[in-house]
Amino acid sequence: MNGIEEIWNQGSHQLSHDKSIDAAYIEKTITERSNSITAQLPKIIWFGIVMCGLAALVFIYNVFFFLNNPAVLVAILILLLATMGIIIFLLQQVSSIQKMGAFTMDLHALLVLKIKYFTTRFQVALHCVALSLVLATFSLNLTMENEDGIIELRKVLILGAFYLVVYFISVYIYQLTHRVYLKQLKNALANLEENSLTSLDQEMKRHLKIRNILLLIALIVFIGGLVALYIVSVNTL
Amino acid sequence: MNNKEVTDLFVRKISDHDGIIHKVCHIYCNNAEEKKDMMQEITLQLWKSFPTFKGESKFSTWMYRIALNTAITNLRKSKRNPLMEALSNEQYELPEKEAIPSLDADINRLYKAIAQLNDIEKGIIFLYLEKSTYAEIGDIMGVSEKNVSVRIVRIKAKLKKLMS
Repeated sequence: MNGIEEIWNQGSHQLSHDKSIDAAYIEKTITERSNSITAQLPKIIWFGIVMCGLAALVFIYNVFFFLNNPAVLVAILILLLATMGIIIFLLQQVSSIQKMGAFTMDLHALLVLKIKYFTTRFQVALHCVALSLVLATFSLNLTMENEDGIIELRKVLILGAFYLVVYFISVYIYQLTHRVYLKQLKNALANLEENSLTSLDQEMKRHLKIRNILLLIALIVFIGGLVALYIVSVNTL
Repeated sequence: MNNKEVTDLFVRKISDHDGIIHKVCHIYCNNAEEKKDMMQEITLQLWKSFPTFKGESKFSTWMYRIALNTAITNLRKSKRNPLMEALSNEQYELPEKEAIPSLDADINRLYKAIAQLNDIEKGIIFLYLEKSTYAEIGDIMGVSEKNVSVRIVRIKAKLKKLMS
């Protein structure tokens, strides 16, 4: 059997016969895929943006109904501001994910960056998406419960419990969906670092070996010295 | 340079080095369908990253980096169970790699053996077989040259065992 290098070269030579990447292929691929770039972004974030957009519109719509009810008006304005804040944050996440699509840095740095992002800011984004669902539902609820600028929330506890359940189920589902992707990234990083750790381990073993040899030499010198001292002292006496 | 010139330059450069894309797809994908998707994904990533190519490294080195990073970090599309990726290859059965009838038996055996390595090992041995220097491999993968040399010895031994 030939060496793997030689076999690889033969394979490369044979594979080069089926060249298919020409100008037409590249242009077709770029056009098709570029048009669907937004679809490749995490759809969950877009879902959150749409939900927040809907909630914001309904809140704005509600502002006019509660102009004579300052307490509810203030609450709506606060919720509207919070909704707008979430939209801005989620849009920033879309931009961050787009930027991470640049594969120009080394693999280790890229994996670390992605893992860091998906375990921190993206987790916050998932909570925001879950919150967007609650906000959208609440805004619609507010519209339905409105009676000439007065709102009477019945069974507040049940309503609150319902929103909490919606919130936590949403967060759980989103996290479950992204856990697999995160696991893949972590595995790739673990595979990449495996050698560093092994190498470090080997380095430590080598250091230990050198230390043991030096200790042995020191011990021999020490015992030899003692013996020499003993011989000298016996001879002197 | 206007857009048309940039596009023409990109197309020319990619066409000149399209073997890199073919080979990356070949070692990371198990069938024609996966290969087709991977080729499109790599081509798109190359296009998106092309403005960042400043000519500080060889075009081929830059292309290896983008192609490998795309292949390794786009595991989502893989049909393998991701939760099993960290296991050693002996611990689970890999999907059988489709043999290419036009290639010699030895070559198909080598590709099948490479298919049984993990994604990082595939990248390292691929770059080594493509005659990249240890420094280039380390730079692309983000590990030290020393680690690269240790790893290559280990991977080569693994491949020999798998091919025998």
